[in-house]
Amino acid sequence: MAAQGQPAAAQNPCKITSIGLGRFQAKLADMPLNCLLSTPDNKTEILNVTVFKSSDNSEVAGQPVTQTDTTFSLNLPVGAYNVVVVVGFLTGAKAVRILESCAGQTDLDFIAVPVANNGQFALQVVA
Amino acid sequence: MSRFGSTISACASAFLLCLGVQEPLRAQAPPPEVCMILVHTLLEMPTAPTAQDVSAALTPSEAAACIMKAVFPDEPLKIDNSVATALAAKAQTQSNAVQAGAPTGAGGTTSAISKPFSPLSLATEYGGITSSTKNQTVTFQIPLDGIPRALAAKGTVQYCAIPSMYFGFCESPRLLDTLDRFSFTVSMNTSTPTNSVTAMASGGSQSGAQPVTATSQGGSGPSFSGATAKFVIIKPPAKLPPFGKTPLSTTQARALGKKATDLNGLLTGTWYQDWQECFANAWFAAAPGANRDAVAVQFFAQLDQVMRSGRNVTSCPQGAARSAVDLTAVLAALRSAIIASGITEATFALEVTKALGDPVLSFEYDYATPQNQESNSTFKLVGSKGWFASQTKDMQPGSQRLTGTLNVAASIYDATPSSSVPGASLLRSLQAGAELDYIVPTGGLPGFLGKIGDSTASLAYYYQDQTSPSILKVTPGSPLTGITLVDLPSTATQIFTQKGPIQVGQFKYGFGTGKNVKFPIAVTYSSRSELIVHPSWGVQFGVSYDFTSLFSGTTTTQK
Repeated sequence: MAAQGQPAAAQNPCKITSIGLGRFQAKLADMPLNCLLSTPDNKTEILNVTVFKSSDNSEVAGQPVTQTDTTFSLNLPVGAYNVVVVVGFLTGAKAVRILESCAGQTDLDFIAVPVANNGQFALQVVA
Repeated sequence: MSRFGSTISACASAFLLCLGVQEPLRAQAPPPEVCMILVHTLLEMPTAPTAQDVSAALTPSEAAACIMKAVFPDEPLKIDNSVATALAAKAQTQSNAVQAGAPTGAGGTTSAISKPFSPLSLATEYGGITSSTKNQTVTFQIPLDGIPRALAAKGTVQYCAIPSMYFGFCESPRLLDTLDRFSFTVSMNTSTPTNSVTAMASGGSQSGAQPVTATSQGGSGPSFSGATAKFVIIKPPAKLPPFGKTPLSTTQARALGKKATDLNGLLTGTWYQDWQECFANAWFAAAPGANRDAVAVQFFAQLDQVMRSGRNVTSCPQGAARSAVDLTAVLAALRSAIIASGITEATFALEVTKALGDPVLSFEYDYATPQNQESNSTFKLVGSKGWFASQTKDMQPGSQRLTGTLNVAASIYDATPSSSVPGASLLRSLQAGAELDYIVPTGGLPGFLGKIGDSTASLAYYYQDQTSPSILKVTPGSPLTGITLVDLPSTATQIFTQKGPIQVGQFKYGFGTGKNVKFPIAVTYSSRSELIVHPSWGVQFGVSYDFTSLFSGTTTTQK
């Protein structure tokens, strides 16, 4: 369930780059983007991932294209988005990260479990 | 780290300036506890936190409780997740691992075997497993978490996953789970009179009819039969429900996602974002340990002013022009996000609770005061295991259709028996028993049976080695209730019978499995009873009501 549970994906080159604190960029040609939940104690799982357009905060339909309790994939057109991840956790759970599932495991978000159960990062898709 | 290198070095070189302020701050009070917990979670990761992590932790929707407590400390906020809590309460108490009525040794019980968990319930039963006379008892059971959980289910008290995130007192799952381990039972004997009537002849006899003056002696209420204390030693560990098996919390999480992005959108491009980035860089640049805590304390002290002043109070050199915060809109969005977050947590906790198995091992202490006998104490280990998870109309997913229960116990007299009773010792008896319960899905049938719900068929075997004879206390000249003594010397104050093993086989059918009201009916064969050395057949039956659902306002209880 943890990040280390994705050995095959971890060999892929990373497609998401940081463009500032909490802001990331990816190319349209690199879609889909695979993300995973890093939960060192296996006490947290993804409940829901929602993608919103930055321009009007409207929800992007059909995203994520796949989701499990520790992974999700995004396939987005060009544009600016906010990706909100909500997690559920057991008593005693510790903080988790949302990473890109790739060799470098780009750090996309940190969720301060147990005092927070959601996180958000901004993603810009460029041509 | 290289990603932020330029920003960090810029801030680090002007570190003191970063921490400085342009105008005097209000007296620096310690930041709200939840704010410091927020930054301390950064240190729990196996890899060192980055400035990106710090900034993410300060995302408004993540830091909502911290912002609320720091900027709007006097705002009343109650997170009403009573609906979820009510459902959690339901899930707690229903299965074949719960005790339906009085423990095995009590006169009037229908149970040959004790179960590891006692729900908040009231039962009235007629029967008795090892006793020689049949009685009726009323048994009240209360787990220590019963009332607190009921208050949370009513919404009177807040229920919370993380108390520090909440506003005012709240009951956490950890608190309820701890209380949940303890339960108590009191049984009253309702079939045997506690008072006696003495009739004294008055006046002369008239044609065989004699007038009398009657007086009553003794109490007028039911007599105390026994009490039980139970402690759950081993509970199954909580597990994350499989993906797709949390429909309620997933729905709540979706609603939370919208509230979170609304809140974050309100603070994007404002001075909050400036403070957030400056905080992240300054914290990351500071040496680990006390220095980082000092940075956090300093920045949290500025938060109120950042939100209210509409300008930069952190003097970060990289700060770009920002807009003022719309406090009214932010307060409303904070409330919505915090409430949605709390409800999501509570709903997820409910689904985790539902997925929990039954208690595995309990210790039970029974104190019994049988009619006309010395009081005794029984120390019992009760183990339980379920198999074949399945779902019926009245059973929830994950409920186990077959439940096995084992009992091992020793019973002692509370006072050493008189040496005049041959073979008598402090050790009264050794006991062992087993029961298999199978849930029959009658709830899916049409008509009357379907309305009653699922039912449970049970087979039990119970063995009791009476290592000491049963001793009855007698008062010369006073009859024993239900027992006729013949040719008893007027000086006898104790009578005893032959000791030996008791073997009991029982078939029980319980109607109302998964419902609030249950009706167990049992047929029992016993090789002997405590007093009578001959085999006998007996019938026991009862009614029990589970109060959990009454408090939660729901109509059925399930697991």
